[in-house]
Amino acid sequence: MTAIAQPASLGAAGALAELGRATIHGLGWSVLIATMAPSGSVLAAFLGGFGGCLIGAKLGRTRLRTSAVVVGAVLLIAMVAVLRSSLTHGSVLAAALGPVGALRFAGTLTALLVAAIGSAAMRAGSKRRAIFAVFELLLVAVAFAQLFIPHRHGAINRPFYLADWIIALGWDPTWLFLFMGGTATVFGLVLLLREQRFGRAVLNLGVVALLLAMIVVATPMIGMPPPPAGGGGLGLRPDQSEGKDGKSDKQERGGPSASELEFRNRYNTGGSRVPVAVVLFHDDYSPPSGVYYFRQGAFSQYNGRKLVVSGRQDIDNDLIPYFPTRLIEVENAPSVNDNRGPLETTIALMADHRQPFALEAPIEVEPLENPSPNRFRRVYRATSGVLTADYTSMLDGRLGSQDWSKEQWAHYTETPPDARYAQLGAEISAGLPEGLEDNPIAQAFAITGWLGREGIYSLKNEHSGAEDPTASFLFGDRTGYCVHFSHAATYLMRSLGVPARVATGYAVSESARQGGSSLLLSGGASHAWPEVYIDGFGWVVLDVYPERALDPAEQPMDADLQRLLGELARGASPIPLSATDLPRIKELARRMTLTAGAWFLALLASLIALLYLVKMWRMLAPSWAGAAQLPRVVYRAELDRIGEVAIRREFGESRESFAHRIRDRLPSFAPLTTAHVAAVYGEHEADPHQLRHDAANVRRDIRDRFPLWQRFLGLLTPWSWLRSK
Amino acid sequence: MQQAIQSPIDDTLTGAREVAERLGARLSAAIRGRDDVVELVLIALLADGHVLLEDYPGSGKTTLARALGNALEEGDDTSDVAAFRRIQFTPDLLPSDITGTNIFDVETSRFAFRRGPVFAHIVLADEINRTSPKVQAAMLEAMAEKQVTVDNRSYALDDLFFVIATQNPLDLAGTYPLPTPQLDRFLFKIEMKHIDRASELEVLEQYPRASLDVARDHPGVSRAEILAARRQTRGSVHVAPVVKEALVDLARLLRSDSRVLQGASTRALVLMLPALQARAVIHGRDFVSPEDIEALAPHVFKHRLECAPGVEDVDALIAEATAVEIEKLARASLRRG
Repeated sequence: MTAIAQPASLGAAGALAELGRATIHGLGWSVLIATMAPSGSVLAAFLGGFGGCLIGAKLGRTRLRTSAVVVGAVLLIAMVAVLRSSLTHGSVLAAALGPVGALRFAGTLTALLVAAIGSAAMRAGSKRRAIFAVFELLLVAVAFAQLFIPHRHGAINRPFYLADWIIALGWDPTWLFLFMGGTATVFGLVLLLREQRFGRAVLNLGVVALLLAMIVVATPMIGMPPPPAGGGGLGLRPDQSEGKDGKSDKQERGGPSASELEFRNRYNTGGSRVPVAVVLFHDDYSPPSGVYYFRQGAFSQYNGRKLVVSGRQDIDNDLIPYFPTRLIEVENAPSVNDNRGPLETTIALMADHRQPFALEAPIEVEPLENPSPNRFRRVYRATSGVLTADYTSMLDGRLGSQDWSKEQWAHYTETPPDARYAQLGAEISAGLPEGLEDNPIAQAFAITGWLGREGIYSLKNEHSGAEDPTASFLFGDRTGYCVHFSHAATYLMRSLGVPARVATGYAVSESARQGGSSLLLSGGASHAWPEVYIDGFGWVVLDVYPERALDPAEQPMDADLQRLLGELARGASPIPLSATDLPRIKELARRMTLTAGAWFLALLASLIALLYLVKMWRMLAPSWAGAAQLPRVVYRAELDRIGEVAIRREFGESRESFAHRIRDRLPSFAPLTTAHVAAVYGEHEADPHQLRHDAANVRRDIRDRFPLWQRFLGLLTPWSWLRSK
Repeated sequence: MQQAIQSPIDDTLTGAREVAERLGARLSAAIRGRDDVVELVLIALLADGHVLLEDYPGSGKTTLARALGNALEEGDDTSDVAAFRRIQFTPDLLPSDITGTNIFDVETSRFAFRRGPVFAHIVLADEINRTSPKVQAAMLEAMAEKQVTVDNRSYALDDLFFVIATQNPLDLAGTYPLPTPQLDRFLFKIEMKHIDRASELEVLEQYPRASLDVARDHPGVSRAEILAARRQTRGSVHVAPVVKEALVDLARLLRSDSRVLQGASTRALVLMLPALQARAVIHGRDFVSPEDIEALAPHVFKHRLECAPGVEDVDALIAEATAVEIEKLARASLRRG
């Protein structure tokens, strides 16, 4: 009715634009569901969107109310949901088409109907009101986002199903995506410019600006492309050096892992000089053994040939289970007491690690913001309960934990069914001084000492082919490397009933710090060592130090590099709350939601109160209005009243025509109208008594002619006066 | 639109109102089921405008015009001008046939002006589009200037010179359609539709008596009364500034509409003001109300708009624009003045 400026017929260009819109609707719907529905449903969604858009355009021209369209669409979609569930759960369709066919049919039907109903409602709505155009734009925007989600993290040549196709044709997919983006932009601009009404064009442009702003804001949140892998500007490229050995599996690269600390005839020393991590000590600490042990994993389960990582939940749970995203406390960490003191370290990884490591024994771990993403993969802070007590003080300790179950005891003392281990263990312990032969802790010390004296450290050996490589090592030439020594020690200890395991990680001599606070770990520092559990101490490293070695000793890392990387890691700060502390974020979000909800409710309540206040004021205004204003105020009050029983003037209807139209329902409204019009246009002064009498007549008419519930509901509606005009 | 709404009226207007009522009753008796047309004709009469009836043969236009003439005749009239004349326009008509001509008087040996049929109070110009543009121009000059010019001498027409022109909307072969500038001289173009069943039956019921006969039961009005009513209407009906603004805005809105090639002239608005006043009087008001604009806008604007090709529904176009202005007025009326 208001569309004065709209041409009566749109002509061919208009029809073309309508078809274009319908196509966009169809494409939007089909792209939306493309990744999660079969091709039949995608096609159905396109047809639904296309048809729905055309239907919506027709619907917009009918006299059907916009609110009826919206409510109807919601109801219809609900009905479609019911229909779908009845189709998929019912047996009739399944019997006719088979279960897969039934599911597919129901999906296709749902896609068709939902797309059609949604598009029809959106199109009809936006034909009437500019605000509905926002929903149409949203559909297109979400479809676009859906299409290019694989694009993120700088992966320009995605989604693959488009890129592969273009590559197969022999073209550069980048151009396709540029073309698509350009076409979409041009299309959007043309549609925007076609808008006849200035207000709507402005609204659309506003939405576009909002979308752009959202992209700008959201991009840093979702994340920019990660930095190129490797040592970055320092020319440290651990990936490449490992790649040369043909290890393509990226999960396995860097740091000691179960597959590397393995019985091999020739230990792979490739990349042993490549720095994999730098550790920054927050406090000075000298380990009693003179070596820093960074525990990453543990082998404690005997699998018939060797020790492997245990799959049990209750075993080895003093390890850091995963890379932290917030502060985590290690489950079975040793308590800080006379034997162990807390020490904080910052660990910056320069190569990918499967599991975090920390100076034994970690208590809690917290992620840090990466101060130099070009150099470090990850940075975290670990608080360890480091061993401060002397090894001799352990002699009075008790083995194992009081909390251990029988199964755990059995797990940590399981040995190969080879009697020679127990025999050798007994022989070694027999050599202990008087009074210590029966002390199992002393026995464990004796075993490591014996192995250090008797064993020969060599990266080359000939045991990996044996059925039990450890036996081959221990009862053969006793030549091997850390894996052999640690397994041998563990088996011997276990054969004496000492709970022991093989721990893996890095071991670096204290002297490697060279007086600084940072310590550079290289691939060559990866190590496996035996550990025993002593009550009150936790897992204690009892490493074997072979006295004879066939290989040259490791050279210490470059001191300058060590210091430089340490200084880089020093800049790390805790990751802001937003990314680390999920529970606290949730709590914060909950509180913010509550606050926002409370504010919203308060706002709503005050709005309603305001509406009621104005309503009351308008209702009571006749009692205090001056003579000049009285006709207008009285008329307005009665207009509000008849509006409450849903009698309203139509757009463009004059006051008299309105009174004339409702004369059958409310004959008493005519005199009041006359008085009002005479006062406004004729500058007549109305007789207040007559006016009040007329108003009373109207009220009586309303009382007599309208049911109580309708009047009551009208009275309760706070916004009824907004609609009286 | 007949409204049951009455309001106190200025004393000076009671006379005008009474005249309008009397005449209205008489015309309504003569021509059944056309109360809306009767009202528009009355308004035009009081507003000193002319009307163009567009109708089918036998729809009562002559009856209407004759009834009006009769009513004037019966009123105590001292004027030397005929109350009613009918001119049937044909292609061979000459301007002098309607204006009159100079005739040589043998007795005085002088040329004397002999008045044509336009020298009457009420002139029925039947099928005005059938005559040549020359005659049309003479007729329209008479309408606009209230004078005729013959041999360089102008003769004033009567003050109460009221033309009811008709044209047949179909059967356009051999006609000279009136161009828009000439249509502009008519206050209203009234399209008469067929009367309803009950009214048609009424016409048949009174069969033995002619309808003009029936009308004679009602009293007539005199020329002086009508002229007085005109004066009163012009002088005493208040037109609020907002109403004038709405009128101008409405014309401007129509002119700016892309479907309209040429909008209504300022003259149309000048002519419309007295029409609004007349309608106010007929409806018992001494002020012009937005309702008057709502009722008269279609009749005033329809024949004055030249629309773009392909625009069919001029009525809807005018109704849309009128609704916008009426809505503005209605909303403003609730605000503190």
